[in-house]
Amino acid sequence: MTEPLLSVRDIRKQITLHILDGKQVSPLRGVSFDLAPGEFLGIVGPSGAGKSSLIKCLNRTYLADDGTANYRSASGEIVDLLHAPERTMIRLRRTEIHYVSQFLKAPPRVPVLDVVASVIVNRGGDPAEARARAAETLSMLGIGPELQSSYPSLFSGGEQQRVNVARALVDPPRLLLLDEPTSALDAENRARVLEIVRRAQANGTAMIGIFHDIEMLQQLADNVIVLEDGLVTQHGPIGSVQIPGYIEAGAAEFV
Amino acid sequence: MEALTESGIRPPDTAAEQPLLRVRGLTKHYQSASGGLIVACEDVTFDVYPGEVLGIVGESGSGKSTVLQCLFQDVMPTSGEAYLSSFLGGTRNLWEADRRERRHLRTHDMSMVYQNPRQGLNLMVTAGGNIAERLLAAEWREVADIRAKASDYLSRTEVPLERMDDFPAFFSGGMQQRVQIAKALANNPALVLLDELTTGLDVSVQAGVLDLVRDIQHRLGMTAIVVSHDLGVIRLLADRTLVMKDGHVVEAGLTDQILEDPQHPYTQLLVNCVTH
Repeated sequence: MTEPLLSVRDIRKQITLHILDGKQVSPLRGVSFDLAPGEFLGIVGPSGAGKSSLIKCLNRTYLADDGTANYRSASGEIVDLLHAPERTMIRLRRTEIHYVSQFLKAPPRVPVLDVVASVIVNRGGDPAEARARAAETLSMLGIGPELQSSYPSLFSGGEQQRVNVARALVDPPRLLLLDEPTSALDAENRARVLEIVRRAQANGTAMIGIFHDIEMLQQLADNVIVLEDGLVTQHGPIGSVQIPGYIEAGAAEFV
Repeated sequence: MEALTESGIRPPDTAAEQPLLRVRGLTKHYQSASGGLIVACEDVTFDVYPGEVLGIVGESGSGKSTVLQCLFQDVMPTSGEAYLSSFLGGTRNLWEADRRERRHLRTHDMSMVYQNPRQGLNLMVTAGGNIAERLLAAEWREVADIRAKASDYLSRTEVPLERMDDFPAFFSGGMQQRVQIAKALANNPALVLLDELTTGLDVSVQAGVLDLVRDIQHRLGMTAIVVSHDLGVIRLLADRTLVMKDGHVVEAGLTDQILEDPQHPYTQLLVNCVTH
């Protein structure tokens, strides 16, 4: 068996809300799994099961209380994403791990084209080439040249989500963390995202993706984790896992 | 982490990156008029790496500006050590430097952008003259070079060149701030200290100043410490952030982690006070 790209062991996360008299919530209560290079692992589960918390812990946007997440980097070093120095996380985020949040977080007053191109520029790429690739990726996602010079804050929710995907895939990373990247998209735009994600998959990008849309899941995921109340209740190939009834049966009925 | 090393797995490769600035145990106490002890900052320790922007956030009186004032030698600390790799090979504690070395530090190695442009600019010297002062202090000698550099930085900071020979006293607050930024950056110091640089400006002018700093950060790769009470400024500019309260660093981390998963009660309060 090949060495995993990411080996997650017993992640636990507790949040203490001091402003609510120290109220405690435990979104993750011991989550473990392996991710192979190039694998697409889908995560499903009801709201509040800890899906986003898991992805945020892997990106270090959340601090885990316990566990390890050993990631094998491009240079072959093993980095525990939960405990690595902050500067190491900044470097990995710039070069090989990309997190797509549910909502676009882009700096204000920067044209969409530059928002997307900056990913390549920050990796040391040529600005002119970066803009050309950004334009191509945005167009593939249905954001044409007439929109590319505007600010993303003026965009609709669905357009912002596609900018988010464009930023993630303009230069596919080694590991992509996706938090419901298609929740605001119609069928046509979902198909566009599907195609560009597949391209990255073919390119070797490993992904962990939260999806509420079972069609997307069935078309992309190799394996699936069912997360319930902070614990993994099922983990296996997409065909073998009983997808719980609360996952949407597909987008078709909504369009 | 040690277990990993024992099992033969290489630890993360971070040894290659050396901090530009190391601050250890910075403490500043004042005596109040009644003889009591006032703690401005206590045991503040952090590193700044080349090319990064470190944010320091906290309310007024938290000690965040004191940290910058001590670094820039405006105020001498009660105790602590700081080493800047560009200054005497990083071997001399900044607070044990002699007069001549301290002057060099302020003119060559570091610059400060103050909240109040009056502190960073001589308002009765022309905009171009202010930049020339900074370059002369950094031992530039050729008038033509100085003039060219001044116009270069004024245009980078979007100060109209026809105002180069006017006095900043007659400029708007936003333009004064842009001249101050041009002056601070003109001789390309190793470390730039930015103290509440948008406080007191209109929102639209704030946006212009922030965009300018972001643009310079991207194009010139400057290393900076940004002090602000405004989490919006920190979110936009800083890779990593320290949170200060009552003179102490109560929390430090990646900026998005500080904003999304604040650990300390004060940081949680701060994050929940953001109105936008």
